[in-house]
Amino acid sequence: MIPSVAEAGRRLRAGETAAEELRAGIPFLVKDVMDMTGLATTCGSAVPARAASRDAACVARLAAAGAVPLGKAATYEFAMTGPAFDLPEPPAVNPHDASRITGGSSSGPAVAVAAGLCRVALGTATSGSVRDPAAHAAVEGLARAGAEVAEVEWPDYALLVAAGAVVLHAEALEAHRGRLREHGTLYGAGLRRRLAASAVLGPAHLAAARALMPRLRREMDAAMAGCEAVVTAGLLAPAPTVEACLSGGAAAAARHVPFNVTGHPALAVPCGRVRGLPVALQAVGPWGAEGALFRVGEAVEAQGR
Amino acid sequence: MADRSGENREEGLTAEDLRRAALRVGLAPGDEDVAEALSAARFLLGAARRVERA
Repeated sequence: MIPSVAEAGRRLRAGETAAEELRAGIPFLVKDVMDMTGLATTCGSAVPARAASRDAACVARLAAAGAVPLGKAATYEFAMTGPAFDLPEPPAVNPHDASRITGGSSSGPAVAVAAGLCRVALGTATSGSVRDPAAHAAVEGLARAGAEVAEVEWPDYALLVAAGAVVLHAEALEAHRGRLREHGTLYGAGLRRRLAASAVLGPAHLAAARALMPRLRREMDAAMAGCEAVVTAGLLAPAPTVEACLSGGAAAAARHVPFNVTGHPALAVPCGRVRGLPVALQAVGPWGAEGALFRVGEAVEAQGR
Repeated sequence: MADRSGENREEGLTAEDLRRAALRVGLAPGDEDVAEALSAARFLLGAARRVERA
């Protein structure tokens, strides 16, 4: 997450700094689902976790480039479910309106950057985890790549959502199966119920969804053929309140899942405010088109100044 | 969950089906857990059926 794409780009083009120098000495935070040597990777859960014996690759590479790891930042439990108040730590607070959610699951990293606690923070995207909180907190959030505006017809949206949901939940269930038997009662109620729902899926369902992925990627590639990048709605509405989320009354308002399913790069770009709260568009593109996506982000930022 | 489109829901799944499935993976959900999880489970099973048909 970068406070200003335009500023970083301007400095690079002006020769004021090299990309490596941008990273030198910059403090960064790490979402607590990634390992940092000597720290427990708690994943925001009461489920016991051991101290990591080495840094995650992304942490190690940033540190090797001169960036300074400050520590861990909050996450929804196991990057899946939140906000929740039955976990060891409370949820991160939305700096624009404390009664509203930050988006998830990379809530801590996004809030830390938005609040000026650090320049950069590492997040992950389970479904919209980087782009949701980035939009809510009005900072740039990078999920992968892409860049320019066009009108296109997407492939079967409901099928993309279905395939993504099956893969996400079936894989999560597999990842947690051992811990559930030993520590099931330590999970927050939200994630415990979500994993219980996932139990209706079996290995055959996961295999079928994975087998569908190459076709879905081809169809998405075909939809974007001839485009350098495509701009879509990112968040369809401002962040809902925490209360609405906890009562189940908050409707899904993001459009990220199709690109998580196909692996196409996507960038959240704050594009204004609705009722005083930030909303975002989403720039997506062909694989490897990150540069174009950042140019889209820069253009949108320029319009907002 | 990102989108629980009605198109994908599997309404035939019962609370008892869900409870048995959860027990198989080591969870012992209470009545409230089952009630809260049932909608998501119906969506997931419907999603799986849609994937199978595709």
